[in-house]
Amino acid sequence: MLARIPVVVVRGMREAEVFGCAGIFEYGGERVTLSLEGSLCTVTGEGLTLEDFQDGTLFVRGVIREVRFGEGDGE
Amino acid sequence: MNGAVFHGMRRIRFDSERRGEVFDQAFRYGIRVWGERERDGKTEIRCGARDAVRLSALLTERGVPYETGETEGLPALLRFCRRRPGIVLGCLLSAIWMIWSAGLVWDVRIEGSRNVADERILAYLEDEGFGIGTRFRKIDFDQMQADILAAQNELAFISVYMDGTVARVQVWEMIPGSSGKHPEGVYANVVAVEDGVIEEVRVREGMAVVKAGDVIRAGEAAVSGAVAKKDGGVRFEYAEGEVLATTVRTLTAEAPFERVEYRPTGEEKRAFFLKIFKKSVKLFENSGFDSGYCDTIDTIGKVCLFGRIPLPVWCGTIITRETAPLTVTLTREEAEAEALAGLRRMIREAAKGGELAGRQIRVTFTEDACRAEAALYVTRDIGRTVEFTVSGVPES
Repeated sequence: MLARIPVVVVRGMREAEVFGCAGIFEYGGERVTLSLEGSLCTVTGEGLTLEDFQDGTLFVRGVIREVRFGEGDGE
Repeated sequence: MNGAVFHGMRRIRFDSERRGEVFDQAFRYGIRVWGERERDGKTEIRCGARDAVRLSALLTERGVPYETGETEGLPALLRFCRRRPGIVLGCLLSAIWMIWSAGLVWDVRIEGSRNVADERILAYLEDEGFGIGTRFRKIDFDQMQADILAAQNELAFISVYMDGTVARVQVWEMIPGSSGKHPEGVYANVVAVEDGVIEEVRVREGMAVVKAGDVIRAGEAAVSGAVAKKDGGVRFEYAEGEVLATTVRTLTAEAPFERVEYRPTGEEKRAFFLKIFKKSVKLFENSGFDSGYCDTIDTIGKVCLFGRIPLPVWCGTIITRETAPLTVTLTREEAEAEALAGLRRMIREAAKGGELAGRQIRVTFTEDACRAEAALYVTRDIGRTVEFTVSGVPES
């Protein structure tokens, strides 16, 4: 079985589509932290919302200022 | 989300600080949520009713406090309707009524008529089985129009078409005197319908065989359709024209000195009915007398929505008034006045369509009555077209 590689697609500054998300670690209007396979992905900005969950994929919408990847176990 | 409309959806409210946890549980267990709103420190989301049960269980397990609302969508509507069956029945009956009545004629509007009364045109349509309340989808309008034109000679053109449930009728009237084409071999004379003295003959087609001052008897030709040719032969035409003659008519009116009149007793009863399209439904009737003499008065009026939109619905009242016989005795003067009044009505009726040239009135008294007699001289058109056929005669 191949390891799932998370993919983040950022469209403009308004939308980030995250493939291979394992869970939601933190969710606020200015900061969203997602648990990916073996790491964390933090999206910061303004008016952030999580939408359209389906099979490990979700959308982060709002004004995106920064997307940062960090180490972590993820849950 | 579309499936949630049929199965129902619920709102879930929780503290905004626990938003991450709630969304995490929803995401991990494949629960679709939408409609996120934040108010007064609380976040509200929507999800399907079945998903709401699962999510509630997960949140309870994790110790996240939450509140859920009532199920919305189709289940809520069905719950509402179950408690109010009258609304459902009313909507169903309305739908059935609208579908059924969409195939009926609700109104007939006539355009283009000037001299021909709308009632006559409606009567022509009724003769062909068309009118308010008729199911129009299976009607052959072309055939109906042709039948109407063939059955009368007042209209030169008629068109009937449906504009929704309103029948629009457009007509062109015949020009007076132009009776249109006649079948091959059919000709006509203009004959007198009563005796009289000719005043004037106006010929449009044919040849006049009488002149002013001649006496003509009923049935005699005034304008002939057989016209002599210069070479001695005869040609045939469809004679048309007017034959103005002075006719004499004798009228008699009588008023007996004693007669029985039926006078109202004051007792009456009323019946109310509703007519929808062509069906009449008796609504109710108040009590009153059961037997004896009576007069009946019918009144009926069409229902108009907001006073402007006519519906194929009529409200009617039948008033029945009890009467009782009463013997009335008249004096000679009263009987004479009554006889003369009756005679005047008869004179007005007899002089219609003509010009009153003179009259002589005489009043006599018998043992039981007063009699008024009049000799009336009226000048009118006494001509009537009578057709005849000629076969085997070559056209010249």
